Formats: sequence, C-alpha cells, structure tokens
Amino acid sequence: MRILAYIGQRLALLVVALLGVSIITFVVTRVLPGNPAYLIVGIQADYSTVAAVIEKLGLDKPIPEQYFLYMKQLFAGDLGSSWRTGNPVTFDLASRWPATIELATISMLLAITWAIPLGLVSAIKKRSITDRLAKILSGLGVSIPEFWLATLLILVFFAIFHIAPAPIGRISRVSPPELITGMYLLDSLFTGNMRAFWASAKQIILPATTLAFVIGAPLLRVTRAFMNEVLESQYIRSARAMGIPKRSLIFRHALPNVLLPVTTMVAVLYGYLLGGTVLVEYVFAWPGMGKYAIDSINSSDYAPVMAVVLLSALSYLIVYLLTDLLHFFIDPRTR
Amino acid sequence: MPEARTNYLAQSGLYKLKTLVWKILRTPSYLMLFIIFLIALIGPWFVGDPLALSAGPRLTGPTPSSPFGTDQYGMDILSRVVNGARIDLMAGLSAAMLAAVVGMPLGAFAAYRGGIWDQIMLRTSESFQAFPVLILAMGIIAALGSSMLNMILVIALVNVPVYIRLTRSAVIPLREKDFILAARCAGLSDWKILRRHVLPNVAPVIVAQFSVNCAWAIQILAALSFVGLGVKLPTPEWGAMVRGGSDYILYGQWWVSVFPGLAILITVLTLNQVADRIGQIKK
Repeated sequence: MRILAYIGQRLALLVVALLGVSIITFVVTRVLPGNPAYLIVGIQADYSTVAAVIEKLGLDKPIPEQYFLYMKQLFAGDLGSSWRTGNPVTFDLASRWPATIELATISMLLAITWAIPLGLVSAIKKRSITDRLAKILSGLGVSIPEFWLATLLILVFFAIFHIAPAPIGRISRVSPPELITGMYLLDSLFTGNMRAFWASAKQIILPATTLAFVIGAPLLRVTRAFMNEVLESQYIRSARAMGIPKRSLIFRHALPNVLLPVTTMVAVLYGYLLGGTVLVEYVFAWPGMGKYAIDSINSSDYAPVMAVVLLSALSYLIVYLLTDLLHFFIDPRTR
Repeated sequence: MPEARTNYLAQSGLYKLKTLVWKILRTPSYLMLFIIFLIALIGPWFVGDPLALSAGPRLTGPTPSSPFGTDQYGMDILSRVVNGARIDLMAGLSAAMLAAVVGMPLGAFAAYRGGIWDQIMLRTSESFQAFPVLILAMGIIAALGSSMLNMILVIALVNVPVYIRLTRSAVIPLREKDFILAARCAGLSDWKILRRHVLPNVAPVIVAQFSVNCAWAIQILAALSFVGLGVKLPTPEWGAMVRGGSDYILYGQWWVSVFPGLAILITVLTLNQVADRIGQIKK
C-alpha cells in the first residue's frame, strides 16, 4: 500500500513539473515578442499561410485560452510540422530519437566503466598517483568544452593517425541494418549483420568517448566523495576494528552504500544526456535530436526546435521519476 | 572571524592591499584568474588588430611573427584569442551577475516567506532545471534572435534557478537561528536582517557558485556560437573561432580551432578551481 501511495505522490509531483515545463515552452513559443506564426511557417510564407497558422494556433485569442489550445494540441500528440523537411515533427523525431538514445546509452556505459572504478580507487588509495590522476581528469572533464574535445579527437584519430572513420554520421560505406529499434548497434546484432555492426561501432566510438569523458567527470567526483564519506564513517571504523578483511570491508560494507547515490548521479546524467548530446551530434554529424534541433534553428524552422526542447525535458523528468522509484525498492531507508 | 578583526591598527588600507596581493600570489588558481583578467584588460593593446586581414598567405601555422598562426582569412589568431578574452569574460561575468542579482533575492524571499511562495518558486525552478540548459537557451535564442544582449539575457535566465535554490537552501537553516531571532527582537527591519545578518553568512556559498556560473556562462556562450547561433565571425569570440577552424581540422590544420578552445578550457578550469578553493575556505 505504501508503495502505491509513494508512486501516487511521485506521479503527482511529475504532473506539477510537467505543467511547469509546458508553461515554460508555451511562454517561449507563443508569448515572447516576435510573431510565432512567422517563426513556424518561415519568413518567406505568404500572407494567407500566416493567417491560417494564426487561426490554427489561436494567436488572436487571450493568453489563457491560447495555453488551453496549446495543451490540447500537445495531448493530441501534435508537435507541429517542419517546413524544412516537410514532415510532421513526430515523424522526423521517430527516426532521430533512437540515434540520440543509442549515443547517450553507449556514452553512459563508457562513462560508468571508467569513472566509477577510478573514483572508488582514488578514495581508497588517497594521495596515490591514481588519486591525483582522478583529480586531474575530473577537473579537466568538467571544464573542457565538449565541442572542442570532439574536434581534437577528430584531429588526432582521423586527420593525423587515420584510425577513426570520417565524422559523417552513424554508419559509412555499409548500408544500415534492417530497422527494428532504430538503434543500429542493436538492430545489426538482432539481424546478425556483423558488417553493419562493426561499421556503426566504428562511427560511434569517437562521439561516445567525448561524451563519456565529459559525463564521467561529475560521476567520478560523486563516487570519490561518497566513498570518502563512507570510509570515514563509524560503522566502517567498527568493522575495521572487528578485524574484517579490507576486501570484504570495501566490497560488502562500503560499496552498497556508495552505489546508491552513484546510481542517482548516473540517472541524472543519463537524463541530461538524452537532451545534452547536441554539441557532439553537431560535430560528428550524428543524425539525432540535437542535430535536428540545430539544423532547424539555422533554417528558422521553429516547431522542431520546441518539440526537441519539450521532449528532452520530458525524458529527463521520466528518467528522474524511474530512479526515485528504483530507490524506493532498493533502499529500505526511503520507505 | 572575530580574531582577525581585533588588530585594528593593522587594518589600514595598505595592509589590506598587501594581504590581498599576497593571497593572490600564493594561491595558484587566484593568480591564474588574475592573469586572465589582466590579459583581457590590457592584452589587446599589445597584440595587433584582431580583424586585420593579412595580404600574405592565409592559414599559416604558428611562426615567430604570428605565434598562434593565422586563420582562413589571414587574421592573426593570437590577437583574436587575446581580444576574445574580453568578449567572453565580459559576457560570462554579466550573465552570471545578472542571474545572481535576480536569483538571490527570489531565493531569499522564498526561504523567508515559506509556504505557498516557497512552493511556487521551488516548482518553477525545478521545471526550469528539467530542461537541458543548452537546448533551452537554443530554443529561446531561436525565438528572440541572436544578439549579444539576448545571449547574455538567456544565459542569465537559464542560470537563475540555480541561485534561487542555492540561496533558499542557505537561508532556510539560518531562519530559525538565535542571532536572527535576537536581531528581530532588537527591532531590525527584515531588509536589515537580510543584509547584515543573513547575507554575510551565505556569501561564501554564493561567491563559489558565482565563479562556477561564470564558467558555465562562458561555456554556454561558446557552445551557442559554435553551433552558429551566437556570436558570428569575424567577431573574436572563442566558440565562434573554434567553429571557424573546425572545417580545417579534417585536413590537419589544427591551430585555428585548437588555440581558442585552449583559451576556453584554461579560463573555465581556472574559474572552477577558484570556486573549489572558496568552497574549501568555507569548510
């Protein structure tokens, strides 16, 4: 019962947050100065088209009514259409969202594999070379502009050493695998198409490495800080005094308590990544949501931009909700 | 710290200046920040015109006469990086300042009043923070159009929630403290209590955050310019310069993008280190 109450409470908070998000996007799309009708149909549109859009969006009506109309449109799953591609935005996103999710997921996995172990080791062996290395890497990772890091990786691995393929999207020289999930790596595995698998794996390495480095830095910091805190806690001291071997001290007593805040951080970062791959997508011509948004902005195509803004906030909130629920099941203290 | 205040004689202006200078020289991150500001302030006088097009060969690598090389228009990259420091720091500082000026009173107000105001403020900033900062900034810039002023306003706007939440969380525990109650008993106005008793106590957290926010602001500005939404070439802005050189990276002509990017990295890293340092002092 308590679980249901908790889920209910969390869902209520989600609804409040969604309301806030929708108000913000509404204000940005409809209320800010400038005629949104022109932004939506493009500047070259003739007068009747603009009038039709004003009619459709209800831009001549009072603001509360406009908001109501906006919400009605959203609930009908209508995100507008892009005049650049000539498709409804939902159609365009259907092929681009999986590309972003694929990139975000691979980057997150890479970040987890380097940042968490390094964070743990640097907390356990304080002032060692590993600890210093961890400090330098986390400092760099937080500060480095990711678009520049991406450019540097292209310089080194493509232009100088010719190891990596050219930064031209998700797959090159091989035709993409049969469409199942839209994620090339998964699809090519499902269909046993190893050529497509290797081709897309090669393409994803550099962008994923860039993001993994940038995202890994805060993860490393959090892991290190919490491991430090736990290692200095009373119960670890007692356990040590009782003669529990170091190995089991770390793996059985300290680690479970560290993993909890670390999973939260992973979730937050993943939620961020789902909308935060923009720059890297742009550099590597990765045909995901972020590149779609930038291409649309650069040709004054407005509906797709706001759709991406809305969707990335939505996915962040959902990932966050799922983490909270997950915690509820893992950690007895939250109940 | 009361002990430091006891030595009234030593509190002359010269003494203060000396301690400040010594503090800056002794702390690497402060010293670095000082150098960066110095470059931004007086550097442009020592390097050539950042917009001068050379008649000679373009896209030349680093040479003694132009240590950072020249770009595709023959403009001197060293001069552009140095002049860029002014633009990026100015924009970063003003955006972070604006965000603090708007966010802090709102946060303090929310914490002080509590109740429905607090809830509204909290939920609003949470909703804002659900958006990836860069994407939200892009959306607003797309609606408003990209000018330097709009960029600063937008970067400030997306950073306001950070200050609201930070100030709020710093003020709430203070609200019930005895010295605040005592001040209220003494008949001080809300404004005076806030200014004299609350603000000094939250200042270190805010200053550290301010430094981090400057770093963010510079990163966002550079990122927006990099994707072509912000400052456009030939204005010497670091992000725009990295963008300008990114096509030549493929052919191994690295200097056009590498130096401005390095400038962003060093500046942001320094600001973050300064924030860490201030955070440590607080503890």
